[in-house]
Amino acid sequence: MGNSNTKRSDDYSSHSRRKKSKEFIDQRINYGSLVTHGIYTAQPEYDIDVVREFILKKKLSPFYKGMEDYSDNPFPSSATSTPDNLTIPSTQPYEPTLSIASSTENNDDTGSQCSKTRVSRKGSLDSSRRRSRHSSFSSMKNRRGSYKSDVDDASTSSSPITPDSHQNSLKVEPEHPLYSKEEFFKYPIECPICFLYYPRNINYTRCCDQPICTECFIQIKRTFQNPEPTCCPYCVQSNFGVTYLSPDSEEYYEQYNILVKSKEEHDPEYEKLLSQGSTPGKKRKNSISYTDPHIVSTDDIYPGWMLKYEQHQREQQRLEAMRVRNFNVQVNNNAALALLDAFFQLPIENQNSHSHSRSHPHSHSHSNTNSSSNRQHRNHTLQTFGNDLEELMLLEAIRRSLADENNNNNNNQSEEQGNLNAIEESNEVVVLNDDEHDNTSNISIRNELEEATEHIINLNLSSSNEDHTTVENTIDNATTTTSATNNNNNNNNTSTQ
Amino acid sequence: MALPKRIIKETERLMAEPTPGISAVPHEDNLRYFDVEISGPDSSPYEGGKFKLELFLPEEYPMSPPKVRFLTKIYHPNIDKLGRICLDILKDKWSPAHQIRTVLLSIQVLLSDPNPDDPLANDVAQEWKTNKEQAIATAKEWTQKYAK
Repeated sequence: MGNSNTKRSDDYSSHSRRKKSKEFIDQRINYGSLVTHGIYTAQPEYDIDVVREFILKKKLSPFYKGMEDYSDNPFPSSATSTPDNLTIPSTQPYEPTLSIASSTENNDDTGSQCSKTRVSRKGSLDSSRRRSRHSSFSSMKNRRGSYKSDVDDASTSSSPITPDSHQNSLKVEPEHPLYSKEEFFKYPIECPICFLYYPRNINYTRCCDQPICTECFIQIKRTFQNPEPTCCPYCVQSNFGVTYLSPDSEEYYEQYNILVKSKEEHDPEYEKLLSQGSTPGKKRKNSISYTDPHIVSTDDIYPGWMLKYEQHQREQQRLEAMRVRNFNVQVNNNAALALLDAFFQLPIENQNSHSHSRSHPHSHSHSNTNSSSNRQHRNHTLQTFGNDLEELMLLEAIRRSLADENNNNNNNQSEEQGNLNAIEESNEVVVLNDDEHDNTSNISIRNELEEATEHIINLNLSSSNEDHTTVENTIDNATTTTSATNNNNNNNNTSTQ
Repeated sequence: MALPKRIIKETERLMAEPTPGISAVPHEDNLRYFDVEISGPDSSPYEGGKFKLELFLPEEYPMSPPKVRFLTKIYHPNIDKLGRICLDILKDKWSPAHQIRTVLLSIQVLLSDPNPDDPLANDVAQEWKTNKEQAIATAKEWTQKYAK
């Protein structure tokens, strides 16, 4: 089910276990954080440490407090609203056919997603614009100190990063070098699960490229009732997973600029795209395989789930076995009580007819009418146990008489025959000890009870059916055990009904 | 427990843009509990009928499906005597991307398109398969009798 993913989750699982002892300190990341905002109140089953790791590695969007209502600009700030390094000059000739040949699949796992993102621009970016932007990226690069210099043009860009431009981009907003808070939250996007609005660096499903916030994503899980791999809530494709485009990446920056521009210019084509839920400038349309290392899957954030499930299954099996055992004991006890009551308190003539039928195998109907007429005399214990037991006792009587006949007519030593003989013997003991009421009689009754119990279980297992049919079933069961008596079968059925 | 924003928004949207043939009104004292009415779809045996249902959003909604039940008696192979509905999206095929509206639309479609091969009411399904004409006549009769 999880194959490659499960391996990964196991790694994370052991990793997070190591980390769990450490005290958690939240940190701001791209105006978001590492703690949920309580949209869901159920006890979390995901591994929060693993989730945080993914957020820090920029493979999942941070947690943001979802905004209840849409606003183009939810956090206007007059003080910082004029950073000219980000608002796109209206004179800028921005071609809508700008092709961003970004390939996230080249990214490695190290978390520096920008490092390998290649952006080839056919569109013309204003050169000063480019400069300021590259300075921003470079500033990030410098600050992190881990960037390779293959952010294209950065090395070839002739304009050196002046301390001033550096300062500027940092002064605007410390939480992100490229976007002020106002810019970051502009034109938020609705999560279709929680109906709240989030900044545009929301996660997207790997399969159908639909937005989903992190808080909703981590809620989607396998369940013990449905242990199959989770499905995408939108397109129902199996092996649910999401991708995330970090706002630190150039690709995101490109998208952002196209979006802002199209919004501000009310470009009808983009307006249409936006109204359809697409992000202008966003390239991905195809599904990404769930084995792709950039995907965060359900199994990733629920490490060890399969183990839990297997444990749960074993526990269920154990409980089921216990339930059956308890049931057997209970039935044994009930049946024992009822049968003992019945046995010792039945009118004598019933006993007589019983033994009578033993010696005269073909007098079933006689014994039946007898027993049914005796029903009213039986004590209430038996009645509370239900008609099933009455029927069973009746069946036992029929079976014994059949066995008797079988025994007399046919001395073949089949295994079944042996069993029947054993029952015969115990039966005789019972009859013999009728008056003595001693221990041996109790023991032999127990033997008999076990036989009866088996049938009661049969009854109960098929108890969803109508009473009538179950009785018939047990009759069949009982009679088929006496193999050589098929002829009498019909007689029995008709007589009992 | 405060009502999740999603439920509030769904309710607002249901009120603001009602779907033809479907209404869902929350109880004042329990905003998770809705009185629902679905019109029998045209050219179905339920045409002209108004079917009352109850819908409840459990604590886990939308991660768990809403609980929906017919209150009006209906003769349908996928709806049993107690009004319980056999519909995959109300069970294992639930997705949090579904909404009250989409659930009710699916139920309306189920009225147009009964599925006797996946029955909940065995006797009705049997009749539907062996004597469809009679089954449809009964469904119409029940609609006239109970869903007016």
